[in-house]
Amino acid sequence: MSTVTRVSDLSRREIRSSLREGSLLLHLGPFAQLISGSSDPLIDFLQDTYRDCQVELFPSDVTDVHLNLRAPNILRKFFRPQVVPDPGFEVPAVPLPIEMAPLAFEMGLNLSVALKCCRFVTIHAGVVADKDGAILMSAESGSGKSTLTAALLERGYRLFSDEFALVGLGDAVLQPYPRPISLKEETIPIVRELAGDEWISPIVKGSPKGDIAYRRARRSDIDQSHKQAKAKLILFPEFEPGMRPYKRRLNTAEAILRLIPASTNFGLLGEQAYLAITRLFDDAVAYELSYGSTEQSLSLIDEALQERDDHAA
Amino acid sequence: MHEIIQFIMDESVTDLPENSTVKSVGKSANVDHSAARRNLLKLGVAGMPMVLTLKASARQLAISQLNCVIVLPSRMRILVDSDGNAWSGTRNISYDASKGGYKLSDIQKFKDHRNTREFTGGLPNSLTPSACSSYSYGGGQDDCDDDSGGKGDDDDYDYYYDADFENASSDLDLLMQASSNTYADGIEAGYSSKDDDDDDDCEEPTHIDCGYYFTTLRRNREIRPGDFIDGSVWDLRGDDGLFVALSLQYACGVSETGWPGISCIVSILTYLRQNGGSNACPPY
Amino acid sequence: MAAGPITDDMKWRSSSDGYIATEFDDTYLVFVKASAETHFLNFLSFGIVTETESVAQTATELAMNLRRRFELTDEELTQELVSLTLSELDDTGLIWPETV
Repeated sequence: MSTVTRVSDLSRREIRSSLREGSLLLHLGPFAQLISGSSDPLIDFLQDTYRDCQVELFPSDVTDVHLNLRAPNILRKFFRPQVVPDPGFEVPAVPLPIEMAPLAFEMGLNLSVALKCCRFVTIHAGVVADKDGAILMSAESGSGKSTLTAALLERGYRLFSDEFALVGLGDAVLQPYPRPISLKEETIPIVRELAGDEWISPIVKGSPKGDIAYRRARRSDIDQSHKQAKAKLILFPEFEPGMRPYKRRLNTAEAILRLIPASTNFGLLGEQAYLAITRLFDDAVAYELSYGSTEQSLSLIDEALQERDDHAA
Repeated sequence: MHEIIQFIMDESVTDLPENSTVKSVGKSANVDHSAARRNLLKLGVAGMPMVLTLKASARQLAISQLNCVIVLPSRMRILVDSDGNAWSGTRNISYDASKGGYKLSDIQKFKDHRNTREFTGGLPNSLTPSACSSYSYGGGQDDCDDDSGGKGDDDDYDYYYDADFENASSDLDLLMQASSNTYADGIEAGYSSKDDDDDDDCEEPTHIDCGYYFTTLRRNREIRPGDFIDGSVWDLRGDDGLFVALSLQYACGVSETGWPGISCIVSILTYLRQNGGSNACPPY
Repeated sequence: MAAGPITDDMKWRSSSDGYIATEFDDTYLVFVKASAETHFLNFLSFGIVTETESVAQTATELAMNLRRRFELTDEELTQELVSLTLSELDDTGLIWPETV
């Protein structure tokens, strides 16, 4: 019989056995993700970073994603073992040393959602929310999006996602998908300082993206991952050390034209995606932010929220 | 594009065309739009586009793959001939203007070296040197009886590679940094004691100044393959373009591992294939 | 997909079934269903699209009708600019020449 339990309630042996059989079903946000491919680094990662997530060992339901973490060939299964994420379709991923299985796991899940999800418009963005609504932050890698997302968590916001805004097709409501926040290189100590050491995973060193660590989602984020939110602020942040803080209100047309290229499945969904992205702005205002420190970014967000409230009043 | 949109929006005021059924967002009522419209028309006559197209059908992850950067882990030398063949390796080929060009024996040794990879044909014309109109060998008279292995012959220093290539490579880098000469010149300066090349007395031509292009890409050179994509086709130019062209030949025909930065190239190929690039792989 | 060389006697058509338009302060985001591309149009280019919905028109006819609709003079809205804009719109698939 299949039962849903937290990863932390499972023994290492149970996880290993389930991963070997390809029957570990990870429930997170709106997706059921079947994972296969056992390795010690992956088990360590799941037990640490996904400890509060819900899983099934003998699933009977349909799944959204089937991610197989496999060796690229028979040789690399045994000799200097390597791993590639195989989500069931061709992806631009190269084999990684088995120690980097966590990275392959995260990449595989990201690619599965980014390129094959049809239930939501997926936008490359960080999203957090409080009781008044969600803040969506769309930026290219290296623009400080993850640090800003992590900093907002410390201000009491719920984590929706560090990687994807999932926008409902009909109502343009944002859906949580609270995966760990990916931290690269110099952002690791910054977020460690903000969140505390116990919230940061061990560092995966020497990956193609440099040193990588993850800021775990809180149990409360995971347990509330069914609670959706309407967007209230849409931000296009850009971090550069030493940059003078700057904020510009964007007209909606420009903001939409910026969000569309950040969607990974806009071409797939077409008209529905256009309508959903347009509706995102029903209650939201958009800003472009530039800043040189996390403190500055938080101040700019405070100002933007205040302006929005003043305008509404 | 964003700048133009911002400009147009700043120039515009609100009004819906009569009988319009389109959804209106942020409309302000009763604003006289005529002046702003006349201004826009003047800008149109001056060349400002009346239609802007968002080209992206948006696969941000894939697009980010276009932005990947290859950092060369070690120095790479590339030789190209006029038939579009290429060789990549580590040996140097001496160029001596006074003797009329590249040393032929160096060219052959470069091609034959065990660390050299050969790429047969397939380079675009933009990266292929012109053929010699008539063979114009240089005037040097040395090295006819090459490969004898005597002192003063470049071959002597192959042991650098044979013994411990990686360490030798580092040593050679240091040597290069300490000298403004080419690698081969540096070796000669440091180790040759007798029978200098110039001393031989042969009739065979020893140098060539046409039909080949030879270049050295330094360690840590940053190459951005995405810079050579025009729409969904390759537009390969210069030394970086040459490196990308060889990378493409490797990725498309040999393997997807074992070449510097191959993951970047493979990612871009995947993107181009997904986006209808008909010439993702050679021939272009 | 452009229709090729544009001539003065071509009559142009459009259909509101083929796109979704959203207006923002006298400018328009237009999503073309067939291409899944989004275009940013100003009052003139969007005016051409809406003008040609009901009846196919040449560049000359369009220039005349748009001047009347937007209260512009011949000098303010030249036929050259209308032809240029037709060419830009032709690339978007929002309008097409009517075949006889």
